Amino acid sequence: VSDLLGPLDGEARRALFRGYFLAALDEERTARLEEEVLGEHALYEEMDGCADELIRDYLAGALAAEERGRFERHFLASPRRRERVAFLRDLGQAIDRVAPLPVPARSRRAVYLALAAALLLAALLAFLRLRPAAVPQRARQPVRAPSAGAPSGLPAPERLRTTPLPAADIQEVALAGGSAAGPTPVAIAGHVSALRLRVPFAGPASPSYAVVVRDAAGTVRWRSDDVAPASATALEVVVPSAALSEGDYELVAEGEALRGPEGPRVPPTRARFRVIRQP
Amino acid sequence: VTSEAKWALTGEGLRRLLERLGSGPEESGPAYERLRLRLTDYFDWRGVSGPEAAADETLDRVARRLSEGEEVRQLRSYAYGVARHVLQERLREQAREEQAAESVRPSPGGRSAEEQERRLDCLVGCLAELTGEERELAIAYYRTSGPSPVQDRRGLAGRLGLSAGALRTRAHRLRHRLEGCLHACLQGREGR
Repeated sequence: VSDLLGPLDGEARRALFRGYFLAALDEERTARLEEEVLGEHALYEEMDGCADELIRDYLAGALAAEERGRFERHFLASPRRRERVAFLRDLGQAIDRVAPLPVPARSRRAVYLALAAALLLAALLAFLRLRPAAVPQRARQPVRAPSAGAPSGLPAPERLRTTPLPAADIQEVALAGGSAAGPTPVAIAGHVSALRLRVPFAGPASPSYAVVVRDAAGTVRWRSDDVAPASATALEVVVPSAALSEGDYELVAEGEALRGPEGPRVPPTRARFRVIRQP
Repeated sequence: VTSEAKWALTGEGLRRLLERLGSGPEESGPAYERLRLRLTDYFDWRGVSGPEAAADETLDRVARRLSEGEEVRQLRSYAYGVARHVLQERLREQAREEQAAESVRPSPGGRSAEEQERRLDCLVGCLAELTGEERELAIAYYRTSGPSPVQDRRGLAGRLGLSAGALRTRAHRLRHRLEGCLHACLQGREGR
């Protein structure tokens, strides 16, 4: 028996096992690995535990896009493995019942800070309403977006619906769905605290969505794992403007049914946008 | 070969196979089950529909060769060699059948809300039967909500003083127990 696994450390073995389950190994390495694993039960157990890790990462939405695609094409091709995914999903739900996830201290602190910020903002707005003359005229004007391909600053109201809401300073943005469309320009004025991004679904609606906003380098700038649809055709998320500097972004929303093994195969909803900061 | 003749052949071969797998029934029985499980997963990983039947066919062929007096030095390597032949045959058969029937993979039937609730109740009971350390392992390893799974696993391996490989092995055994517990619980409820 060739010794493929022996010289490898834990991480390298894990990578090899995952490659096997995702059909990413060449035939020679596949056959060598199978021979070793079939000959030694302890290796089989380790490899099978790695399949559990992969399933758990999939269910937790922690797989990269390419891995997720391979998982859905290859791993979920077997009814036996789909059954296993369903079992681990149920086990995850049972675990949440017996050991509810504690709210981390950092999150609690974030909630307190958000409350404090909201109170301060409310007090400030009340003060400004009492002294309307003190509000700079520019801050009360609707923000206009440049059209695609046009120099920054030119208006394109058909692409970008902006309604300054003094009570919350949330800017409404309608994004065009689909990766084929060019990025929707989004001009953000200095006083805007958050964007409400509205995007039409690709495919049928799902009960909930995992939504991620990534920058051009692929870094996650914002995410939320349990977003209910705003209507039968569209999704809305509120993203803090502080999370978005100038540049290009992609919003990806994956429906719950897509993440589970038994749901209909619907493509994730994607929308691209370009942030332009305004004073 | 009639099924009777096949069984007679397999019965003698099975005895020889068990002898090769362990020195007594306490050793050879579990070793047989473990080998069968590995073969079943092998066929499943390779996309064979009916992987259990393919594993049984492999073991049957190995047993038959042993009963025919074939000299087998490394039983597990030999079994793997036979399994590869069975795999090729099965995949060819599948390709023919799929081409003929233009079969579409049947989608698994959804569970009713009641069935799903029964499963979750059973699993909660199964988790309650674990020891404290086992429960901690199950929770950290198999929770799908919350922080990054990778960090959870590394933290857990460190707390338990285990390597990543040993952690996977323990999780694998625990998951098998939980599956068995769920199965028994659901059967018990159906029997009521």
